[in-house]
Amino acid sequence: MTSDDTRPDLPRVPPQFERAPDSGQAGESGQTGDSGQTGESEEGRESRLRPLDRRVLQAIALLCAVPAILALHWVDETNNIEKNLKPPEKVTTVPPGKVGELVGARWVVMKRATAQPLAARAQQGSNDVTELRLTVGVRPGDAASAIAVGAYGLVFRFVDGEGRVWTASKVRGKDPRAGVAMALTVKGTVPRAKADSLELEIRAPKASRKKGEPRLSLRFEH
Amino acid sequence: MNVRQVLLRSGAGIGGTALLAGAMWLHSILPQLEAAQLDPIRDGGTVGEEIRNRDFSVRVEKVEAARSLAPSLSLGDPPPVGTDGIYLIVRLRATSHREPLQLRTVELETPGGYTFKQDPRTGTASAGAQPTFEPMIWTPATVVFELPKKRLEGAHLIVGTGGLLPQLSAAADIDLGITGNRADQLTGSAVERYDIRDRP
Repeated sequence: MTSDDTRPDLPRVPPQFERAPDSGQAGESGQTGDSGQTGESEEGRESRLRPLDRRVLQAIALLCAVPAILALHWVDETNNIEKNLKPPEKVTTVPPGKVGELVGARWVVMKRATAQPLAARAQQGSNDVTELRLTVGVRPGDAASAIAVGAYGLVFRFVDGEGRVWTASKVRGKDPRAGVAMALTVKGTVPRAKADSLELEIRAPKASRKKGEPRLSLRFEH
Repeated sequence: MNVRQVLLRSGAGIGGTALLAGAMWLHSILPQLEAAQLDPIRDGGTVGEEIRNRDFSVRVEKVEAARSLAPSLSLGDPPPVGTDGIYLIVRLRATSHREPLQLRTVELETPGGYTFKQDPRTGTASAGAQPTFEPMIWTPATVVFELPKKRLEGAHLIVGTGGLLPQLSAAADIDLGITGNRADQLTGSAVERYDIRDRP
């Protein structure tokens, strides 16, 4: 770097004024200036992409962006559904005669019986159904558990090994108390052919599920 | 700026405006498109035929007509509940396939785009609430519609699981087989004081 460069306000720039008389002032000075700019823009152009390459890259980016947006939307919807509408479930299988634990209470299936179909069903001419009655022993561990056992949120249902589900309901009895074992009767109308093979499933109330944890169930093997 | 450039820019402007207008038009009809896309999925059939979809099976057993319905209380001999049109009574049986369900959509569709909801009048002996259909158990149900006599012809029964959120739910579209002659026959043979509970 020369002193001329560092001090541009100096009146005399020798190379330009010396060459000017030879080949015309304006043309030469213009040429000199142009050649300097062209050199810079050429460098800049070299570093940039050709239009075709740029278009190809844009197309690839667009092609990647579409599935990415769809995937993001999918994950968001799945999370939303799992969080609000269909929370994940965790089913604990209880072998026959063993005790399972749910909502702080200990549960065991004590007796299994079938009865004549309900009067309403009999009137409807359905001879292929029967009423399945299960006696379930339960002992709530504490006061909160006793309330949960006596509340309506607890869901009882009969399930088979092929994914079918039948409604079961708890027969209203004594109110459960903490630390006191009691027997509950769970009944439901099921097909006669399935009565011997169905298993009882008890699901914890929706409200008892903690955030981020699955909804718990007990399934009593038969 | 020469003529070519002016033309090019004008063309781009007009094209851009047209694209924008098209996008706004699409945006305005999108809700209708989406609503139609998420309509319940219907399987068709006729009376006596088992119509099966992924959630339930249904079979219409009988179609009857009545001029009036029996009152729910017999105390004091109240008059039957009549109508200016006709009552159409459809008896069906249904079963679910996987889990207990209720048929929350029960409608009668007639030519001309008319839809009638099941509507037992208050004070009539109704069949009660719609039952819960369990797997492998064929449970009977009765639905009653009140409609003008001239709308009987060509009526279709629509039953489905969709209630408040019927998007892509399962539905059955049953042609009740009511031709012009059959409609006249139903109207002619319509009974008085029809009691839903008496006729299983």
